[in-house]
Amino acid sequence: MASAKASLLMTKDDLVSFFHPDRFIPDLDSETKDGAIRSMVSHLAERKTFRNERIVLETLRMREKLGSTGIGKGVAIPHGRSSVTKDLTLLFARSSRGIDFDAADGKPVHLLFMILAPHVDKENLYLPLLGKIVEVTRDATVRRRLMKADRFEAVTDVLMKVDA
Amino acid sequence: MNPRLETLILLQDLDLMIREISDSKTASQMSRIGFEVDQVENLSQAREELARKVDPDLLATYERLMKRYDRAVAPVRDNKCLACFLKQPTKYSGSEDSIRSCNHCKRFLYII
Repeated sequence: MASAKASLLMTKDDLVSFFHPDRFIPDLDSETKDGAIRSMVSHLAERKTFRNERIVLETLRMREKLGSTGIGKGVAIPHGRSSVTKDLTLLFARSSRGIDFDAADGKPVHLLFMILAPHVDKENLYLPLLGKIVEVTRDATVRRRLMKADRFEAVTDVLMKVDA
Repeated sequence: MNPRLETLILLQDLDLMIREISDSKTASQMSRIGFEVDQVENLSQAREELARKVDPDLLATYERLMKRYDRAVAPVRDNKCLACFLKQPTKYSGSEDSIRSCNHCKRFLYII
C-alpha cells in the first residue's frame, strides 16, 4: 500500500468527522464483492443519503472495472463520484468471515470503507479522505483494533489514537 | 426516475470518471494513494455498451451538451437548474414520464 501526500491535508479530527453511527455496519453478511457493494449502497439509500440507488451502485461497479479497490491487507475502499450524491460520504463496514474482493494481495477483505462524492467537491476532500484511510489502515494494530471494536464509539476511539 | 434519464446520468458519471482518470495528474495521485487505475479500456468499453442503450437522437443531444458544457445532465432544486441557476417556468417534480430540459441552458434535468 502506497503513502499519500494528499492525506497530510487531513487531520484525525477531520477523518473521524466522516464516520457516523448510521453509516456503520458491524458485520456484513455478504460473501461476494458485488454483494458487499450492493449491501453498503442499500444501507445508504435506506438512510436517504441519495435518491437513486441504481445509479450509485452502477457507478461503483464501473469504478471496480478500472481496477479493484481492494488495496490489500484485508482493506477495501470502494469509491466513486456520482451525479446523484450531494455530499462527501463515508460508510464503514466490517466482515468477520472476509470477502473475496479481487484484492491486490489476493487476501479476503475484512474492513471496507465506502466513499461517495459529488463531482464538484467544494472543499476538495475526496482524495485526502481516500489517502487518509489508506494511511491509517497501513498499521496492523489499527486494523486489528478496528475489527475488535465492539461499538461505534470504540471505532472512533481507535482512529483518534492513530499515530498520524 | 425515468429510466432513460437514469441511463443518461449514468453515462455522464462514466464519462466524467473516464475524463478524471485520463488526467495524468489525477491518475498519478490515485496511484500514489495506492489505487491502480490502469484499465481505462474496460471503462471505455462499458461506456460504449451503455451509449448503445440510449435512443440515437437523445444521445446526439447528450453528446452536444457534453461538448458545449462539462455536464449534459444537471440537478434541479427549488425549480432552479443548478448548472445555470435559472428558474424554470413550470414546476418540475421529477416524476414526469418525459425527460425535461432546462428552459435556458437546455441541459437535461433531474431532482437531487
